[in-house]
Amino acid sequence: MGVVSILENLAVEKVEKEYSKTGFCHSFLLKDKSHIREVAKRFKDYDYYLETIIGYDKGDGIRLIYVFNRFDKVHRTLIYLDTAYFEEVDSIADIYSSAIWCESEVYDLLGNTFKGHPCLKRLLTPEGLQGYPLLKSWKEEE
Amino acid sequence: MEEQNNIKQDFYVNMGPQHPSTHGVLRIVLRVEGEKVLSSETVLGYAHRGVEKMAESKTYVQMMPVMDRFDYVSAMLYEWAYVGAMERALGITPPERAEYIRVIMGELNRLASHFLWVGAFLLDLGAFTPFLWVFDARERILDMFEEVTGQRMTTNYFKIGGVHDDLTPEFFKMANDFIKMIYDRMKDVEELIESIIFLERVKDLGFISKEDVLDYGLTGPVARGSGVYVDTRKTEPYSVYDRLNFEVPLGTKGDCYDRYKVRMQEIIQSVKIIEQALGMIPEGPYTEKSPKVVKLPEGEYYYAVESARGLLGVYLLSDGSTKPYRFKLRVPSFANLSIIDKLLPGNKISDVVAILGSIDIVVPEIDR
Repeated sequence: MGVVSILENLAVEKVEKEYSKTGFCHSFLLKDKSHIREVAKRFKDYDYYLETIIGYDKGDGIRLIYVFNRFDKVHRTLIYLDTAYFEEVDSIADIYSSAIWCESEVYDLLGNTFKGHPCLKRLLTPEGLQGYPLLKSWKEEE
Repeated sequence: MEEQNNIKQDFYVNMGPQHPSTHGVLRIVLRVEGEKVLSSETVLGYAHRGVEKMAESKTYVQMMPVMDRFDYVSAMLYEWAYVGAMERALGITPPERAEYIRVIMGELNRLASHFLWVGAFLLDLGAFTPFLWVFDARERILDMFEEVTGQRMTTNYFKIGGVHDDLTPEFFKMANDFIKMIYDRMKDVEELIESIIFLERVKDLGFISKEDVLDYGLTGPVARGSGVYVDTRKTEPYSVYDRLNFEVPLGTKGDCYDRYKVRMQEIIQSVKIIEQALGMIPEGPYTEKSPKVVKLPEGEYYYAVESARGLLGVYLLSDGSTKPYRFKLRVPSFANLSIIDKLLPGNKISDVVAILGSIDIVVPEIDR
């Protein structure tokens, strides 16, 4: 089953990536944020696991990258999700348990919250830390 | 007084952050009833150093020695992933000899890590002697590292386009002596370990199903213990692994014993890989010319290797400057540990140590 047919009828746009140059097999930009749960469900149905969630500050918002992969053969697929700063995103923690910590990490370092997450809290940084360290605007305390 | 006794109260036990069996500063809050664990909560972050943020203000080359300091027991595999990501971006292919040197050193490092795990796992369970037996073998590997790189643990050996130093004739002698000795040693260790006391403690404990492996994204010996065929060296071959002949040991039930057994068999497989690589290593240069100032072309790059604990991925996002715009590690222990809160409830406190030990975590790589 090709990835394109897995993602049929969803608001995705293919981004060209060459595996030998980047290490990613396929990548898609998700245009409709509310589709992320459906994407995750379909990937899980086709035995993909969630490798990690990467987030970074791209200057005018946050870009989340969901990395899906297969166990039997490398099939690393990226789903880009562009959000505003501190925007709430639908949680996929009930679909993939590995997302519980991954989403907590994104919240901890970038500030995005996740709707429906069972225990969103600071995972790595100390409790009571002000701000979100991986934002480019973050300044270290003197 | 009687009334007071009837009130059921939650009883909490803090395991860690300073506890001999957590192998670093990890805290698990156990809610218990007598000896039985009702639920648990894992608290991370005691070793958080903010490396991902730090990387944004350091050049690519300056980050190189930092890569040793995540998983300090298999440092070279981390160097490999980082160097691999940069080589992928720059389009550099290391010479043949360098690839074989990397395989040999990487597998030796995997052995060192597995030896440490076997020793520490048994130590957690109360057996002291196996620790000494495997540490003797591990010591020889560290001696080999010292011979070639000058360092025993945080080696900083890999570089863009190859490795920093060639293997010495003395190294080959040491490696051959090591291979001669290790098969018998492993037999002895296995005989020593697998007593009825050990088997009673680890068999049928901490089951991980195949569905859980997918759900939690587990990789490495933890996933293979449950019978899931996942090994980056096979499924996403990098370097010269596709030319080497080795098997991927699998467990059947997914309990602590299977995870132990998988690692013991992996030790043998790694030795076989080293044996082959030592025979196949060609003459020639051990490094390619690498750029003086490392600037990656704009774009994102990812490189995955099989670390001693599972799939390790390095993600680099470059804006074309000498520093990464975003540096992210996909660490195996992070995903592997996330299942612990599901495994612990229903078990006795003394089994917590066995289950946690069988997952094999290194806390500095989780916290980063």
